[in-house]
Order: sequence, then structure tokens, then C-alpha cells
Amino acid sequence: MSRLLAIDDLHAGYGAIDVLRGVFLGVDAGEFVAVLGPNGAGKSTLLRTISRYGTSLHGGRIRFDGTDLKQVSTERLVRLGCVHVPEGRQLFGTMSVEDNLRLGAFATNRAALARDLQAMYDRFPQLASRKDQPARTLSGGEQQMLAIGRALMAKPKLLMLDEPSTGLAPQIVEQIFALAGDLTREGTALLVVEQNAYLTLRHAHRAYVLEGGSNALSGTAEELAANPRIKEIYLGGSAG
Amino acid sequence: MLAAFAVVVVVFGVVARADAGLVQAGTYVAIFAPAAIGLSVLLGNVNQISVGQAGFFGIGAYAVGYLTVNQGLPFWIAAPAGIVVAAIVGVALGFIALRFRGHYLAMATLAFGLIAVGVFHASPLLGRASGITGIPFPQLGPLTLNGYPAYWAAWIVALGAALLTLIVLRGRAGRAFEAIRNDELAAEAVGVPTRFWKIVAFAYAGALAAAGGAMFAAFLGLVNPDAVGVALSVDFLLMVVLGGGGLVAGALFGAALIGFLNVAGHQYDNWREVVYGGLVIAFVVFAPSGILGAARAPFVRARRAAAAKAARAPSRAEGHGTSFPAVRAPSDEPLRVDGVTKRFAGLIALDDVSFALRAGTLTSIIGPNGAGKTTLFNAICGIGRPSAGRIAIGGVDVTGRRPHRIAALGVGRTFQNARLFDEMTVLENVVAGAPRAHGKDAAANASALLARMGLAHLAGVLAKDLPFGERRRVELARAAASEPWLLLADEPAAGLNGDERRRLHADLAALRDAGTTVLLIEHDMKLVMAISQRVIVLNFGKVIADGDVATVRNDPAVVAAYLGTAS
Repeated sequence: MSRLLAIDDLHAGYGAIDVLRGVFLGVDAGEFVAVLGPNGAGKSTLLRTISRYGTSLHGGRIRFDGTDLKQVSTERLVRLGCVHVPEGRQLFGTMSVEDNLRLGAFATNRAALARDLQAMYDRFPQLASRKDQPARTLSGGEQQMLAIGRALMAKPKLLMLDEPSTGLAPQIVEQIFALAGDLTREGTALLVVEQNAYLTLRHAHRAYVLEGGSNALSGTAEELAANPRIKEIYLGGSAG
Repeated sequence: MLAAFAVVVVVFGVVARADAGLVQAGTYVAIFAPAAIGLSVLLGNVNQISVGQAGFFGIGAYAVGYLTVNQGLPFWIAAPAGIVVAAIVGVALGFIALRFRGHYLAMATLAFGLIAVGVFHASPLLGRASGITGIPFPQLGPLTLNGYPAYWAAWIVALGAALLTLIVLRGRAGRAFEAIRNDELAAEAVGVPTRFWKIVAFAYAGALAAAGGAMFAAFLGLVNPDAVGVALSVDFLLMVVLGGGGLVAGALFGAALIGFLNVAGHQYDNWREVVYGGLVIAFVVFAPSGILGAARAPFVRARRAAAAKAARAPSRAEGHGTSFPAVRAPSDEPLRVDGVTKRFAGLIALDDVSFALRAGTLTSIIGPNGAGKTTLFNAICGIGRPSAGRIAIGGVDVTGRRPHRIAALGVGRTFQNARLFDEMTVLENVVAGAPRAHGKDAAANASALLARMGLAHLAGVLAKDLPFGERRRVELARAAASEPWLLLADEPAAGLNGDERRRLHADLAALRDAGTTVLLIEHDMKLVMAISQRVIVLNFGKVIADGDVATVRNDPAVVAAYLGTAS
């Protein structure tokens, strides 16, 4: 069976600079896959390249749900069913919570908008009580919820989260990972980039560890959590 | 280019001497040229828009009108007085320009132009709507500057202004302008007082416009509000855009073109604004570098290509063994950070951070994304005042000082994304790195530094044509140019390949060995662990570990910060 997302020998970066130097990765439908690695390994660049978010593709192939993404714009990718929640969330800060959610459904699914909004408020009760507030007045955790909620309004097959735990208190982070688990059980695949390796490995099915722009390790979450190499990659333990 | 233009002026003056109409047209061009040159500096060299240049022109014209007609003073006192007033008003407008950018600055300067006309229009002393008439022609000894002599007098002023501008642009001011135009933050970081030079640029542009205005009033014998309105500001803008911003000869060329268009198309005056407005848009869209810029483009391209090709030729581009001139910090404690806290709207980016560096050591600051590393660097460099705490550099409290003043103490900095002055050559970048050096010394020192770092073959290459790895090294060279005793390097290894990393390692070690205290932010742990004498770990804005490499690497708090907790 072909994978939902298949990345082959990807070379990409900013301008002429290669940040990714040969990355291989696959995500199956309904799977929770994590991308780990130290700062500068190319994790965010990987997500940005998939969604054509200001990076340039220098070589290799990305296929999503049978479509080659070479010529696909960010906006069309959303219609294909792949939504990216960028680092820093990038909410529309002056717009209300509800308008942010509505915009999430901009590309798709106009008919069911009211029902989907209600479903989102059921999922995130904190957002319901703040639906008329400007998004920038929410707490960090609520903003992350809203960013994920906005992405879910497009009914993605694959949701990509970039560092969802950054700057959030531990119990909020737990909440977000629990939500991620719920989503995979409902059939949405997840590709999550995280610094926080051990926490992520407790929730993900599989993970890839990047180092210096290419694959260093990959395997099931249990295998990787037990692998001492991961610490060396993060803290520069051994030469290599 | 300027000499060629001067020849044209002389030839035209001789050939057209019998035709009063042509002489007058030529005089007009000279009257408008200084304002265009001033605006060209502002727009092309400092990247500051002004749509109010006619206001300054008006100040010069009205100063001459009022002081000669109402006060009976000679032109030779009235004109300089107008220029001084315009320069002072230019300083005021410069302060406004510090707060606005882009289209807001355009609106602010447009408003200035409207206010100036409004004042001329409303003021009884200045003759309200009918302006001032009967302004006497200037006397130069026995000579009355009128008609044909006025042509020569006006061109002496205009070409003088052009020459003065060329001289100014070749010196320190020109380097400062060019640095500001390329990257204001990097300019501050090398020690260029960007606010000061922006204000200077506005004052200079205003003074030149006033000189033209003074000639206008004296040679035409009158001035009124209509003559110095917003339409004239658009004319000036068009002259610059047409000729090519940032080129003195371009401004002269543009002034000549518009001057003769004005005369030739006199009977179609009603359509003037439409045509000129259209031309401004057309040039901005299709030929933003102007006619002269476009004409020069093939030569510039050829020179660029030649420089780039020369740089590719095999050379002993060995960075290993680089040594830097020895430097000494003024105190044993080049940097002391004391309880520094920085809050951004509800978020604590730095939380009571304290440490001190010993002279001649290399220390790395590491930490996960968002730990506050760059915020700390910025605070040390004077970008963003800390909410609490003090920072002392070389024993001097620098908390809240402007970046260029901190740089001037002897502090060098490189940026996460290698902020070079892209439109300048490698040599010019390194020269700009030592903004306090003068004239020939500056260039000689910069060349020597490039040679020492094995970068001499790149000297003539435009920064924007450099491959990334070389950008980083040139940025390091620029930071080293001022011979800093404290160097802050923000992720210098990001994006470098293996060879380039080894060379960076050698460069940083050489700087440290020369006595420079180096503070490094770096994610490349292999480099950090190999080069640092001390590692400070930040997480959520707090120092969670501080010690030698082995201690920090095995600290459970550090492991948890990077990898999370395994429990």
C-alpha cells in the first residue's frame, strides 16, 4: 500500500543553501510520526518544505496522497488534505477566535461550517467561552489549541505540528499530546516536529531523528526511547 | 561622468549664448538640479523617501525673497540664511523619519510639503497667495547675475553641489549611508550611528534644495506658493527616478530631462501632472534604476561577473593558520551580565541571568529553541533594553546604550543569518566594519585582514554573490575589522559544511588566542564541545547549568532540557 506521505532523498533549504541533505520519511494514514533532532537539524525546514512555506526545493521527491507536491502551492496542499501548524502558531491575532476557526475552513467544507464549529467547541471547551475574543488575548496554551483547531477545520488527512510544546507549561503539553492521540484514533495522521524527544516518544508510533539535515536514526518509538545514540546526537557526545 | 556633464554644460552655454530662451531653459535645469541631487542621496543612498523636497526649495526661495525685498539684505546673506534654515528644518524632518518607514514616511514628508506651502500661503509677511515679487538680481562685484551670466552662476552652484556630494559619498558619510541602505541593524552592530546619519542626510538634502530655491527667487525675481507646491516635489522625485537614484550624474541628467520637457511641453501644461505621475509609476515598475542606472547595468554586470570569476580562480584560500592582531580588553572582566531580565508582553524571555566572562576565553551559550539566547545577545549589544538588571562591558555600564555606541567600545558581532551589506563588495563590507578608521588606512587595513584570512581573492565580489559559507567568513572578517576585544557570534556554524566548520573553528580559536573574549551561541554541539572552555546553558530564560564541557554534558538538568524526561 502506498503511504499517505512519502519523502525520498529530499534536498531543500533557503535560497541556494541546503538545509536538508537527503531526507527519507514516510507516514501512513492514521499514523503518529515524530521528527526529532537537535536544533538546526532541519526539522522545521522539513515541514516548511512539505508545505512550500518559504523554502526552495533542490532535489528529491515529496508525494502526498498520490500527488507529487513539486508544483503544489501551500493553499492547494490544504485542499488536498495536508495542514501545517507552524512554529509560533501564526494566528490572526486581531481576529476573534471564531473568525480564526472560520478561516481554517476557508478552502473546504463551507456547507457544514456551523456544525464543524460546534464540533470544535465541543473538543476545545476553553475556546467556546472565548469565541468572540481576539486571538492574541488568549493564553499560550489556548493559542496552541486554537491553532490546532483552525487546522482541523480543514478536515486534514495529515496534520503537521511544528514544536507544539514550545513555551507551554507541562500539563498543557500533556493535554496537547493527549489530543494528538485522540486524533490518530479518529483516523487523522500526524507528523510532529519536537525538541522534547522523550515526551514525544511516549506518544508517537514511530519517529525519525535528523542530524545535520539527513536521517540519523529511525524506528518505533519504543526502540528509539531505549537507544543511547539519541542523547549523543542531541548533546554532541561522540565524534562521527 | 560628472566631468562629461560639465563639458556638456560649457558647450551648451557657448553654443546657445545667442538664444535667450535656450539659456533660460539651461538655467532652470541648474536651479532644479541641487534639489534633485539632495533627493537622490536621500532616496538612492540612504533609502529614505521624501515627497516634500519642494518645501525646502520653498524655504530657500522665500528666505531670499523676504530678506532681500523686505529686509534689504544682499543675496549673499539671504541665500546662506535660507540654506541654514532649511538644514535645521531638515534635521526636524529627519527626527520624524526615525519613527516612520516606507509609505508612512512618504505621507509624513508629503504632509511637510503641504504644511510648507500652507505657511507660505497664509503668511502676510510672505505676500500670501501672490508671493513676493521684485526680488533684485544678485550683484557679484560689477556683474549683475541675470540672463546669460545667471546661466554660468547657476551651473557653478549646481556642479559645485554635485562635486561636493560626490566627495561626501566617497568618504565616511558615504560608507555610513551605504551601510544604512543595506542593513540598518548590521550598520549599528559595526558601530555606525544610524540615527545621526539619517538626520544628516535629511538636513543635507534640505540644504541643497534650499540652495536651488535661493537661485530660483533671485534669477526669476519672484516666488509664490504655486511655484513650490507638491507638483514640484513630484518633479524632483521624477528627476531622481528618471536619472537613477543614488547617482549624482543621474540626478543631473534627470533634472536636464525634466527641465527641457517643461519648456518644450509648455503649451500642454494642463497634462503635465498626468504625464509626470504616469512616468513616475512607469519608471518605478519597469526601470527602477533609472535611465542612467539601466545604461550602466551592463558594465556593472560585467564587473560583477569578472570579480566573481577571479574569485573562483584557484588560490591559496587557506584559512588555517590565520592569526589576528593581538588585542587587550580594558578590564579583566570584558563582560558582566548582572540579573538581566527581559519581559515581552507577558512572556519572560530572560529571567535573572547573571555571569561574567574572563578575558581571552571562549564561552558558549547553548539551550533549546526559545531559551532566550538571541534575546540575551541582543540585550548585550543594545538591541532592546532589559526590563531589569545591568550589563557592563569592559567595566563600563552599557545598559540601555545604543548598539553603535556599544560596538564602538570594541565589541564585534555576527548574526544568525549573516547580515552582510549585500550591495557592497567584500572589501567595502570589511571597511565598513571599522567605521572609525579614516581614508586610506581603512582600505589598507581591510585588505590586510582579508589577506590574512585567505579571503583576498574575494575582495571585489559583491556580498550578494557570495556562497553561504563565504558569507559567514566575510561577516566574521567584518566583525574582526574593528579589532574587537569582545566578540559575540550568533550561530556562526549554522548552514556550514564540514570543511567550513573546521575553518570556523580555526578562526574562532585564532581570535581567542589573539586575546579576544569570544561568546558563542551555537547549536552545533560538536563544535561547542570541542572549542569551549566554558558552557552556559539557558532554558526558559534561566541559566540551568554553567561549567566546563564535561560537567555540562552530564548535568541531568541539561539532558532534560534537550531531550525531555524519560520517566
